[in-house]
Amino acid sequence: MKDRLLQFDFLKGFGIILVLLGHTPILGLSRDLIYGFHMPLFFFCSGFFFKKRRFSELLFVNCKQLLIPYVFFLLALLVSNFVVEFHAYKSVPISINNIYQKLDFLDERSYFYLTIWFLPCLFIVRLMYSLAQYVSSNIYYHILTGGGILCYG
Amino acid sequence: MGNLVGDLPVFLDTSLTVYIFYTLGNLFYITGMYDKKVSLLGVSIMLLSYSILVFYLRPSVDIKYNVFPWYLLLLSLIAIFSFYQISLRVSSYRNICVTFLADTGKRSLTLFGLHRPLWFFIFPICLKLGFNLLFIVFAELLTAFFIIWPIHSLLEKKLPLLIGQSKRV
Repeated sequence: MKDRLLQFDFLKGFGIILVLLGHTPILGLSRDLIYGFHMPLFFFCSGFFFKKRRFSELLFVNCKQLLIPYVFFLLALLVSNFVVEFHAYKSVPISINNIYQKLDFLDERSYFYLTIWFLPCLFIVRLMYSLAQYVSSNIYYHILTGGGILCYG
Repeated sequence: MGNLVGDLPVFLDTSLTVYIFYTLGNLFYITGMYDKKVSLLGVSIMLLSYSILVFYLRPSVDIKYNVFPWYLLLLSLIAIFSFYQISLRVSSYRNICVTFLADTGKRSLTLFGLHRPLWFFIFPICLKLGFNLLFIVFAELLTAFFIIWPIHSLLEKKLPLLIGQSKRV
């Protein structure tokens, strides 16, 4: 049943157009309407296709599906930024320090967080959810936990 | 309201916030709700209430920095469910628009990961050409589709691992 549901492809297609629109210089109500649900939509879709796996398999699959693309996209982001900076300033500011600043995971303005934050975030969520499945497979406990965490702050 | 689970590094705070959506997605499958259709009137009411409430509340949202007010949980679920219902109805029609959106969905990861690097180049060009806001939005969207779609096909054939796939198509 979970093989390929066209409505989820359609939904993701719609969602990614909203992501693209949300990253263009639009402002105001349209931005608020998009930001209110477009990323939760992807987590929701991903949760739909959750499969229970052994932990080692889970790590392997998640690294392959999420972390390798993340590293690739991060590199693409860095390279394109260096090219644009080179074009603008006529020098190549490639240094360990410069790269470190762009990848500093403690700095929320760094490239580490830009756009592709979704992939490591989904990696963590999948791990958390799978680990929680070992504790209890009753989904309502997980919903209560998730809802509790969200409302706690 | 705002930073709900504190300020944890490496997306841990955001992950905790969005955990509920992942769980609810799984519940959606387990309970078999994905097959149930809601009337168009119901969907319209849900979408309208979402829009009106967002218009009145004007929430400050940036989920990657974990800024996500708790009441948006309900509102975003209403929106997600409504758009799911629309997808469910529309996906039974096989026309060019549906196929385009479904194909876009299959390429969503590549579009997601590569549109920013691409726009680093496109945005200064648009500014240099003196495009207004609407044209910039239009140019960015068009370039994303026209450039990233072929890149996705190429990666799918030659280096599927880079986009999280294992088999060569």
